[in-house]
Amino acid sequence: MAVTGAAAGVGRQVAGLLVAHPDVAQVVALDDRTGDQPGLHGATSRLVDVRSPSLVDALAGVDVLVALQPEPAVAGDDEAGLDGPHAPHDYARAAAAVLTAAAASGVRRVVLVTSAMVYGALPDNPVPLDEDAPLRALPDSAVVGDLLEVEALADRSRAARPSLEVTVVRPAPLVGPGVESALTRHFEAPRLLVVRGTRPRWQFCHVDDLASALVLAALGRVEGAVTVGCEGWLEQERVEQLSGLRRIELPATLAFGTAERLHRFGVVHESAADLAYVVHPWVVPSTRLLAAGWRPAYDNETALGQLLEQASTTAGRRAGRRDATLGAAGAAVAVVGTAALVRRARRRRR
Amino acid sequence: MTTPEQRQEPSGEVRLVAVRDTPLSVDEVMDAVRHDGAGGIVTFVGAVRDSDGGRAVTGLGYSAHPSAAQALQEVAAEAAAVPGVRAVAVVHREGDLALGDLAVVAAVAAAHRQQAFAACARLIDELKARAPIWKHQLFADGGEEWVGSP
Repeated sequence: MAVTGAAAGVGRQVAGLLVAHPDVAQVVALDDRTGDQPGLHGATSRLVDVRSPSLVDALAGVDVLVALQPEPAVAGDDEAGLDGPHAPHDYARAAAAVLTAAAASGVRRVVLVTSAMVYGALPDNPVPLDEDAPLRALPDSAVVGDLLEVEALADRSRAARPSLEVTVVRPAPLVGPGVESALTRHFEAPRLLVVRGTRPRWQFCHVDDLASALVLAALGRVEGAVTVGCEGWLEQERVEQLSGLRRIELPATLAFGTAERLHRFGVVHESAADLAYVVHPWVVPSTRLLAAGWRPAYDNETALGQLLEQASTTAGRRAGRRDATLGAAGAAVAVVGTAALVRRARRRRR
Repeated sequence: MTTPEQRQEPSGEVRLVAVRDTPLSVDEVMDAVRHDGAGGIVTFVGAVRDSDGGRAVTGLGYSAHPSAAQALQEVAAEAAAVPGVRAVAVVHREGDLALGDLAVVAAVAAAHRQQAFAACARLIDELKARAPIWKHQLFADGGEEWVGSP
């Protein structure tokens, strides 16, 4: 089995789990960088640009490939990456090249990672969603557009090359050491935005659970579209209790209008459409994984605890930097809304 | 009684399939599909564009896996099997190309134009999805990028 992006992050984690797995004979760790850590003991490391044709040779003898380079947007989603001219499309482009190389070299199965975001966050979503529910997300932002492109690539590949099995793993919002995302930035705000009349539900996926899910996908114990996340979900009130953050409640028109303006003026990368992901539910059931005997190691409350820890660290690191406003749409709207409340309170006191 | 529409039509012919490192000719591909039973011939010509994703492109190269010609043959045969199609030809370039150079030329001759349009569009879509051919783009900003085929 081979893993791309095996020099660091979730790729290294998955490669390590595969090396230790009794059903895996050999692991090939592929990356275009050597990484800070020493080579993975027990794996064969190969330096390769995963988007180039040289990947075909690097896949000699490989029958399963887990594609984790570049780290999917939902796992990395760092500001530096978002700033690059082509960064939003990197995973989709790499996935296209990986599928081409895998087919040419006789790989039997490819595992890709997108996100539960592809289902879309909509007020009428059932909680939880059905794993086979239609993908209703709109490609309004670069990140979601990239994820949908990967899903389309997987569909196209399944139709064009039936002998190549393509499994797509769709995690709930990722949490874990080093994971900085729009979600961590959402919890950096002084208050949590709640859009009036909505009932947000919170679900997370710890990177350790994503890694164990990817191992099952690599082994073929789950196939097709596979969702992964902590079991169940947290209501907004519980999130407020656990975080100690108070809510700021705004009408939908004001919240989405503010998000749209902040995006238009370049204050936040996220579009107003992305705000829906902290407003409407998109909880996933991990049905196929649970049926295969997988169990998450983390529950939502523990994962949220790690996320809050991460948010306090990143908020401190970001403080004073010019890009301090690159936060999530929900956080930015909460900041603007909170500032408006403060101004109004001051006026009343005068 | 069997009407003309109900009769099993023979498949069209795959007249030309190639992956070449020399400039492509539209005339050659057009000539390859000429057929007395064709009322419509649709050609597709893919050329090197000067930008991609907002970045200025200065040139590119195509690298084809040895199995690329076989993949082209398969998608061409599928296009030829579409009812009404009389002849199919497709040629893909490999090697280094300049802006404006032809990257791929395909032609489908069919009894009627709708059949030719549909079969040619599908041929190109399938080719892009299945042929193991990588594009190596060079950008004006000094960057470069490999792009796979699907």
